[in-house]
Amino acid sequence: MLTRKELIQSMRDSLSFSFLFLLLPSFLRKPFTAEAQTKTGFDLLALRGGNSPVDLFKKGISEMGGMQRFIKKGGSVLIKPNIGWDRSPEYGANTNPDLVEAVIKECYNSGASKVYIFDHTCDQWQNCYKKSGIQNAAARTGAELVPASSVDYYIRKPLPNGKILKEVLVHKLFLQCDTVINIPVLKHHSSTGLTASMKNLMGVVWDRGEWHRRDLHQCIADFSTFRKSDLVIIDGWRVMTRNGPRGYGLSDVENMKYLFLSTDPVAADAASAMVLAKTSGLKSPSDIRYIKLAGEMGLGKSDLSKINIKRITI
Amino acid sequence: MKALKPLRIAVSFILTFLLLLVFADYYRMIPQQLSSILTYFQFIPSLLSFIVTLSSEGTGFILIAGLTFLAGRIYCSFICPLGFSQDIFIHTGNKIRKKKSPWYSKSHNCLFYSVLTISVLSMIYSGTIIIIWLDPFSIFGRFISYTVSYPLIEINNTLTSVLIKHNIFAFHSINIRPSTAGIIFSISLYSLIMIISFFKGRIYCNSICPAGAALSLISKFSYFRIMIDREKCIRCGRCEDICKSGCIDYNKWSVDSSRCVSCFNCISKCPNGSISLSRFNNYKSKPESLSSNNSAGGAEISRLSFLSGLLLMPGVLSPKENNSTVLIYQEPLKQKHYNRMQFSTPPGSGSVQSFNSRCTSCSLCISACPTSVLQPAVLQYGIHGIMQPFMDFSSGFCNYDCTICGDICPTDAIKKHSLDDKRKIQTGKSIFVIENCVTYTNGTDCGACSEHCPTKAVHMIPFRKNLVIPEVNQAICTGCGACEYACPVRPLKAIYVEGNKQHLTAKLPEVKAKPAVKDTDFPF
Repeated sequence: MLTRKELIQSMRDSLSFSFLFLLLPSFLRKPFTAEAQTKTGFDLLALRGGNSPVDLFKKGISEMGGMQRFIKKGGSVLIKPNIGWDRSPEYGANTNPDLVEAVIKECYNSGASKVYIFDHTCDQWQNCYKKSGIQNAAARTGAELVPASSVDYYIRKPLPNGKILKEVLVHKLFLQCDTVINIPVLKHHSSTGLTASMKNLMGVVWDRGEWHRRDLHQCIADFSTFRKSDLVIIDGWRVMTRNGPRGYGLSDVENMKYLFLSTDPVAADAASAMVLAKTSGLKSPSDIRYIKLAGEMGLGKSDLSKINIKRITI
Repeated sequence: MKALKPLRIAVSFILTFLLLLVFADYYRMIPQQLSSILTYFQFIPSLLSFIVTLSSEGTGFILIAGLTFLAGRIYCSFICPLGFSQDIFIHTGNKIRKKKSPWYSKSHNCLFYSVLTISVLSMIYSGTIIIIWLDPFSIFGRFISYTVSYPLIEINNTLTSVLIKHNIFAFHSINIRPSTAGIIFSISLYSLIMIISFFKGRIYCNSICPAGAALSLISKFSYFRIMIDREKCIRCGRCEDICKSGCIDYNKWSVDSSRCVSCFNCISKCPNGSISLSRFNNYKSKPESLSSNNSAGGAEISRLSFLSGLLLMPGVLSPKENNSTVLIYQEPLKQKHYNRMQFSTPPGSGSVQSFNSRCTSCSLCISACPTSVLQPAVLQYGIHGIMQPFMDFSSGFCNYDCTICGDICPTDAIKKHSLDDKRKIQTGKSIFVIENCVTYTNGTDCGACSEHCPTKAVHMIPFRKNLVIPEVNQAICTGCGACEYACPVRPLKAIYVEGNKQHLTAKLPEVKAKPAVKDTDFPF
């Protein structure tokens, strides 16, 4: 039988314990961000110009300290482009296939044993894989393009740090691969304003409808607590500046020639938001609510003034 | 001459097998041309296609008719997939029954031609309502699409899920679940015909099938026919035993060419080669005087056959099965209720009425539809269009860049359109129900509908503070249903497509001038 005193005591203990537990993840996070900084000396590498996104990527990855930094010898790599739409590359709805091809090659050259690619598409998946040009890119380089079209590929996982999203069905390769490289395309998005790296990870979960039903912005930020991509490469070569994420015509696309590399998805998205700010009413990255939320949750830097950016123009 | 039977078996096997592949091609590996070639020679689809388009694409039936005039009902044994299916059962039946009963039977011409008359009249006055039930190609197609595919898909999906566990991604699951109504409808009709054939041979072909009836009218005047040489014949009766149509009466050396399905079994069976496919002359065998059509009884039988057709129906009248787990994300009572007045017909079908009257429910488009938005109707079109495809936006949406259904439709009930033309066809219009929308009820952004909209007919406009909510511009909406499919709200969705009874032309979206972008340096 508990006395009142004992009960209060035990409640206080458990409360303080749970408080510590809540703090724990952010303690763990600190050394990682510090390490990334010391290796490169910047949070975000922004490149523009050149003749193709491949030029930008080659320059960028060497500035980042080489792909070897992110890849374990003999390890497996997941490259997650945006292949959401049944549209050809010039519409800027999917990640540039030449860029994807260059990244795959770089992974194999850096000692990866296996490179996987997939996306949980919005349009019919085989059409998307084909028309995006990424099926050919994978075939040419020997990467395995995997379906994500049925629930069999997904494994249910808890999301302890999610505020709304407590559980997700995640594609098994996103869990298993040693390295995750997130290569989204930078686009306007009708409901979230912007889609870049954090939003691109909607393509590794099964039930996206749930995110839409329960505060889309918060769910995007919540899922970013699950597994941080080892490297974020944002394709801003052709930028869909309106009518996103699917786009209607070529007039929605602007040839902007950007490429951002970072290990901080929030910083990468914040910079991407400013690219769209040129054509829309956006003023600062925190106008995109999921960027603001992710910054507040300590998932990365959302304040542009605090992001250490290295700029390279080719 | 004896080679005719093996030739018939080989040809019919290959054609039926290829058709089976086309109807069950869920991996989409078979080129579209193959299905076009195969369906070109299907009598009823080709005839209907010719009536609709009056073009060379539907001339296959003329070839078949010509072939019939030349050498009898070659179609029924060489090309018809339902004929081949029956032959398998007839063969098995003969093997199981050691003692063969004499097959010769009287013709059922009265019923046969009444059904043909009714089919033709109903075709003229109200379309394919009867043909749906009788066309052998469609009966076969549905059986493959729904019933045969079902276990194949299940096996594939089980295998795939096992392989996925071991990180082998060579196969993929097929997210198509053949509709229960489709399975019940197709299996009952198909197996009924197969059971009849098992016991009684090609009765269906010679007393019901409208394609058979039409061809039998021609084959009465065929140039080459099965003939028994009276002088050679030893009256062993083997030909009569083996005849699956029951059209040989060896006592009279007579072969009823109108019922003969040109299987050539008799030629192979005849011990001394007294049966041959040869020029018709009166000397060798005089055909039985053609039984005159009893026109008085015609009406009576037509009613009977119509009623017996109706008797088959209750099995499929059960409402379309909902997914076993009905998803509910909003209080059903708090949702705003609406009723869809009209389900959409596939793009290229012109109007609901003309589509209902031209489609034979062969299910080829349903099998071929890459997004599986086309599903067999139960009563979505009323009694008229049972098993015809309708656009089911709970299972998919129409791909903006796809024209497959129109390209392959064997009857041209869905007409062929270029991609540019197809994109302008408005099969229906989106209707937004704000009261059910997540943004309205929960105060959070969603916009799944607008994301998927290919023309931006569904676009987002500012709502309350810092939110966006969809708005529909029906003039540029194609009715593809991407918005309805993507909407996450259940049980009722917050946006749905109301079908157009008459398809309209969607306006092309206005392309606004590009805002000038000064892009000289990094924006940060």
